[in-house]
Amino acid sequence: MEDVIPSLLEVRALSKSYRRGGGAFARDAEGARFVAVNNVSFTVARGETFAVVGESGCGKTTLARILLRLIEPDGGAIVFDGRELMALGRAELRSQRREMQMIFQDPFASLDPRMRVGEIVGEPLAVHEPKLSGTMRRERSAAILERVGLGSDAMRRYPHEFSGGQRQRIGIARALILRPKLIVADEPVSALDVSVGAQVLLLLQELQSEFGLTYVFISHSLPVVAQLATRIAVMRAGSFVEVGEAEQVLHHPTHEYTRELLSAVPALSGA
Amino acid sequence: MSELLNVRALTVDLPTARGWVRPVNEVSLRIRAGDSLGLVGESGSGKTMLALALMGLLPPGAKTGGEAVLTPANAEPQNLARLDESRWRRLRGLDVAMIFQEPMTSLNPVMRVGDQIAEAIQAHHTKMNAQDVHRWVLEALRLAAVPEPAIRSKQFPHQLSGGLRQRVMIAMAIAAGVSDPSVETTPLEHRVAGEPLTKPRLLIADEPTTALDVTVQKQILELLDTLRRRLGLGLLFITHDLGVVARVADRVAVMYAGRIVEEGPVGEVLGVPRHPYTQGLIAASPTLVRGKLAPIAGTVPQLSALPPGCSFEPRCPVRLPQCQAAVPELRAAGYMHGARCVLVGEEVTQDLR
Repeated sequence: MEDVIPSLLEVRALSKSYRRGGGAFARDAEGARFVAVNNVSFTVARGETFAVVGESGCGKTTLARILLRLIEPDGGAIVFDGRELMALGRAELRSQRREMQMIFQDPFASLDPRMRVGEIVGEPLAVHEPKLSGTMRRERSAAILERVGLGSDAMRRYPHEFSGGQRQRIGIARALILRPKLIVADEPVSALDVSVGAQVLLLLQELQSEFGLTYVFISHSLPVVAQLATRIAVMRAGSFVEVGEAEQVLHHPTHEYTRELLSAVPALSGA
Repeated sequence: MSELLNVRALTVDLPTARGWVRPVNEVSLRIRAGDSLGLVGESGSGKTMLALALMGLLPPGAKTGGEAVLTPANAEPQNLARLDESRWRRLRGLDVAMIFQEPMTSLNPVMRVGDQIAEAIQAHHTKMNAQDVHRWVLEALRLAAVPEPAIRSKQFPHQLSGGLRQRVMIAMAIAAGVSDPSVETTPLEHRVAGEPLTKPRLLIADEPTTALDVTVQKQILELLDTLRRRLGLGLLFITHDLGVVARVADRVAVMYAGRIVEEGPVGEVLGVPRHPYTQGLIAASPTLVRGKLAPIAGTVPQLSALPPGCSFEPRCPVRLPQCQAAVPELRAAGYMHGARCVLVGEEVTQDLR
């Protein structure tokens, strides 16, 4: 019955490994390899939030970057909106990227400190819609900044004049200005204070229904993921150990490691 | 147990380009030996500046007011707000120690961890012979539940995982106290199980598990809990995470814009919070249940532009006209539970605790 509508993103058997202890001084160039992503497959339906949860070093950030081909995988296939990403050339990939944008963890490191916020947010437009007039570009930048909760006076200011939460809003505005279909969000609230993080999570929720966005949401935190995810994949040592509906994974986990992660979450009601 | 730390109306003033600001504003706290107080606040609340004041590590030019009296066992009470640097050098690392969020930045990357712990011991026990120092290094690592202490002590920080590095930091923080001369009379092997190994000391932990994975965090929290009970440490645990506080603290103090706005037993404060900020913080903390998240509107005020009355008033969902007039006093909100809000019962004239 279902699956009549093709999924937005289909990932098949993705793998990526690195040379262990590599670099110019590695004694054994043919030594063991560190497997960051190990034969990972999943599909993401339009409009859903697919969350990948795991601890540091599990490969979730590498996976996120492979999805946008910011890192090249060793093998596997990524089908985005019916197109095989691995088959695309450089120019095609670049035009494809406007459909898939990323939001980063650290709003302090991901914004160019020497650029005004208006330029930062409008830059993707300058790249992908070069024929757009400067006035139009500024109008669209101001409109999207307004939508994420920043006044138009933000346009002429610099990133350092904003708080962490506001900077994350700037990052979101920049990601949204091209009206992408897919957003890959890598730990978007983990550098933020509790009250500000909640604001950003709710904003992401609103934007999703408003713009018809599909999210791949990467996080180390099960409580954070629980707020947005429709499905959750639990990742350990490069592989998915459990994938399922969010309710199922959070409240009826089947894998031992998922249970361990859930039991380690400090609850407000005490130990 | 005896009272270890009594902070009364402590203030810290800092010079900035835009004039003086007060990140710690008439803060009062008490910690007894063996007790754990959780200090909760978001960035800019002043919680770290309070910790630095209690460690004598405030930035140059800072001024302190009020008092923070530390009473180590068998020693004279010391007002930490009025110590000179030479007295601090004798106290720091022995009677009061601190562990930080990112152990990698506090450990020397080119020195073996055992040597770094030895330094912490020798700073206070200058005449101890090398063999004894080594013995106490291993004992400190054992207490911090570091597996294979003899091997680990010879390693460099980058060879250890994040969790092990934090255990090394904890070992370093308690090491000088472990070798308390009064304890040395009982050799390790003859010690009765459960016998306190150190004199009461204050351990300040500033977001010690924030950079760690949840499974490792759980182990470190358990270790700190065991240590403070076994060693009779007074623990001041600073965090932004209410879930962590629920796990480690007996009492919790919530700090906002330099002031303690609510304080009480951890079950009371998290179960029946009385200050709108505490209520907001709880509602904004994600849990495994979906759809209950409610953010606090607005942002933390700049210390250079605090509102005249209650600092939380501009963001408060239940504010009243009088909230702008004056800073509310701490009022009784339950058994040993107080909140700085005009909506709460009666004013507390006596000290709460």
